[in-house]
Amino acid sequence: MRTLSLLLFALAACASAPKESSSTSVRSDEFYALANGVPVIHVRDHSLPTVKVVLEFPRGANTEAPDEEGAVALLASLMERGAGGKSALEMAAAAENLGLEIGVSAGRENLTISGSGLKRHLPRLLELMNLVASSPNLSADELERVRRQQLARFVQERSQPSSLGSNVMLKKLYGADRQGRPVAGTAASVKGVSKGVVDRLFAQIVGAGPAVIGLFGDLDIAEAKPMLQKAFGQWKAPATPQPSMPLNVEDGPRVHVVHKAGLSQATVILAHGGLQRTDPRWETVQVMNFILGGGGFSSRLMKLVRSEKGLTYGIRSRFAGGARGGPFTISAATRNEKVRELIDLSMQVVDDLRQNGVSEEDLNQAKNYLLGSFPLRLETPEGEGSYLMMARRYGLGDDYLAAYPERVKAVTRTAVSMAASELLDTSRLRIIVVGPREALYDQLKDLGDVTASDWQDDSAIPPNP
Amino acid sequence: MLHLTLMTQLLAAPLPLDVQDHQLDNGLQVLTVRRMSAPTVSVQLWVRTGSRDERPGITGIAHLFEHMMFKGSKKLGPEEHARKVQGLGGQLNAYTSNDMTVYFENVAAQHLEAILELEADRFQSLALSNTMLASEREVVKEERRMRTDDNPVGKLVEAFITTAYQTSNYRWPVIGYMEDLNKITLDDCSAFYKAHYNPKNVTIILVGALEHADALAKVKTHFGAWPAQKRPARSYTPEPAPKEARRKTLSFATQTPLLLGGWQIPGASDEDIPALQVLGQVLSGGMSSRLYRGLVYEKEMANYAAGDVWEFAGKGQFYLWASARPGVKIEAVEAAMIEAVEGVREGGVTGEELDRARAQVERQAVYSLKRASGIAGLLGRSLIYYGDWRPALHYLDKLKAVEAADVQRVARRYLDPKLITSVHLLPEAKP
Repeated sequence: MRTLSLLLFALAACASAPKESSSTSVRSDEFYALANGVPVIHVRDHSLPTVKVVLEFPRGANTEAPDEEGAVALLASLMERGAGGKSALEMAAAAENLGLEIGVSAGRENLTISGSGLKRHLPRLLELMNLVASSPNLSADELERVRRQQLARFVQERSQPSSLGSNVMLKKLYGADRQGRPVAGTAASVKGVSKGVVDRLFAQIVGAGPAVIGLFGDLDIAEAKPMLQKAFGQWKAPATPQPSMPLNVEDGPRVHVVHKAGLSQATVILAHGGLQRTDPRWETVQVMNFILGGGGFSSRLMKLVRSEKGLTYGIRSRFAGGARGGPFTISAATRNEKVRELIDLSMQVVDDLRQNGVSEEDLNQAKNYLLGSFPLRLETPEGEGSYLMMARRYGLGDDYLAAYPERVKAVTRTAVSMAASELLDTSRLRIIVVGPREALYDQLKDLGDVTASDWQDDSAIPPNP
Repeated sequence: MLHLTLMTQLLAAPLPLDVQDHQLDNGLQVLTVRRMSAPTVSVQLWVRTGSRDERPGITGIAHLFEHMMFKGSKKLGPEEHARKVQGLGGQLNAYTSNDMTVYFENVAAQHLEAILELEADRFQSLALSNTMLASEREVVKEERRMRTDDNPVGKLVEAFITTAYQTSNYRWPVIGYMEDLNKITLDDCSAFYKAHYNPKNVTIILVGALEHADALAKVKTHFGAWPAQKRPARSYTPEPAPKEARRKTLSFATQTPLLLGGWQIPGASDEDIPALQVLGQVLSGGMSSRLYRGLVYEKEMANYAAGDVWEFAGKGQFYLWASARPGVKIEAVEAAMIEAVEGVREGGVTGEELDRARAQVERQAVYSLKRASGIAGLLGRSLIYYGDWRPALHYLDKLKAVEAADVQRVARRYLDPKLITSVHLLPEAKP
């Protein structure tokens, strides 16, 4: 046996640190507030000289009026296009010249400004993020530019069956509710967003201040706090989230085909209402969903539909969560002629779980996975930080990293059975299929009323050619 | 004090990884990397085989075989390996490329030995059956439909590969042709397993919260009895340099025209690759890059536009990749991209562009060390491309040493517009 050792100097230095074999020796979570009361979640980790800063503003697409859909997403893009009098290209160069990345993203419940890079550039990163948050140019020219870009993106997305199916699924479940369209809105709504609306949303969302700031990486509190205070002390107080409106699923025809001729494989989405991230059953539902279709090769759907029947490359089920409770979905793709078989088998698996519950073995497998994989989700300071920010967003408690494993351990077979009977119901599942209608209609017609639309423009067409 | 020292050193060369290189008596190479920042470990088995080791007629067997590695062993039933890993909280998967096949698990550090035992089981006593092959063949065909046949980007990539490579072992797609997938037999799978899955053709890379000697002892316990076998010779027919431009046009049910172009460049271990990678940064590293700024932002011709190195162990590609905005012809996008390349060939790059590229690659290098799996990947790719993991520690130095003249030189040497391979994917004409 040949052994060649190459112990490099940096790790030799590290070896002198006390008890480095424990992750806690290089990582700690701190919670404090700036002078204006804005809370900070600080994950201190000196293992690499990097830092990430996140400002989370607790209003997003859910605050848009019906004729403003997509405006918050446009605002987020626009905030990346110049600030403090610097043009879009000048701002981009200022960050990229130092290897920094700064981005603004819109969600249903929030708008987020994030920046990251090597720690030695942190002062510059904070300076640039401050400009983005406090004085973005929001120029009319750039608004038209990001609008054109978004409209082109809508066209591009239509090439992906999964995007087509997902957008139709939202519309069928939630109808006119804002949840019925993606955060980016639709081509029609984006065309109608005015500069005045964007300016108002900026004042309303960003002007109100962040709900929380995240700082993850190679920095101690004593160093971080004055820097954050200087960069983000301008708001009077932290913003508070708006209460979430309940989300109702609309009635409608059970089956919808998004017709796209020429596809050899159909994309299938089965969906009904889900549950809110704040629901006390969340961990129970995670265990249940792992067994059903969230657990890869351990899941019942994967075992039957892929491993035994060879019908698909992958099938998964998911509860989207979120403040209002996004949908429960099962999604997969299969060759056109097998669509009905895939749907029937999927429903059979759901019905069986609802009627017969889960075995002790299944329960333990799911719990072991969720508990055992938890450290992997926290491997990086950014991963740990985003988990803590999620916990704060949904009021799960700053001790959620410790509470989560305990909650998973406490899940019982009875609780899973109860959750299954309360939350899964194949009779309520809406069925969305993207594929050639001529190959699909006969397979789907006895599942319920069938409607259809054309993939290119969503226009209604007969489901039966 | 400690972290200041670390930081200063990290940004100097080489990358600070505590690597030990071992070889068992049967020829199995084991790399252990001690990294204590998280209580996790990444276990990766890099097999020196990929689609380039196939032959026409059974294209796709390397990837199909990778799927068969999940279908059971003498001890375990189908997918039981995966379920056992998940029962330990582990995440697992595998992937196949032209040059390599990689199996990996990320898991809490205390389960290292259990994972090694599971991997040793399937690497040494895989059970192959016609029933399993029949169902997994259908799964792979579904994967092909999803990734290639019904996917405009997949279609484009396959057309590009088969146009750019006409002689070498890279000339067929990794996933294989549908007609070949239908033909692969159990005997083909057995022969593939026997030829490529043996100790001298595999490297085990372990990264995370481990002690070198202990990790090595665990590997020896489970892999030490794996019979030694001669390392298979890898055949490789080099691709001759194109003598003229090659063009192909496809049509597809899409509303967005796409372009994938490219030029032949040397293999990933060649000394010109760092300069080509810096060129990639100059062309497409962020909003300030020439292609984004010019085509996406200023001219608004493209949804995205990028150019970079596509690494292969043998001859690779420097690709150009774009999607046209509605109403813009893809030919115009290609012309604008070529103009940007010509700009570098004729005028070189600026000092600011070079400094920006250096800052960006430095960031990428540091971020590549964030996860144990990322570190294992860095070492594994180096093994495949260089035959040695050590160059992985020096790649940042090489990138930072690239000068403006190097970038212009490689652009002139390799990116001759007259020799481009270019594939366009256009929306189908309406009936």
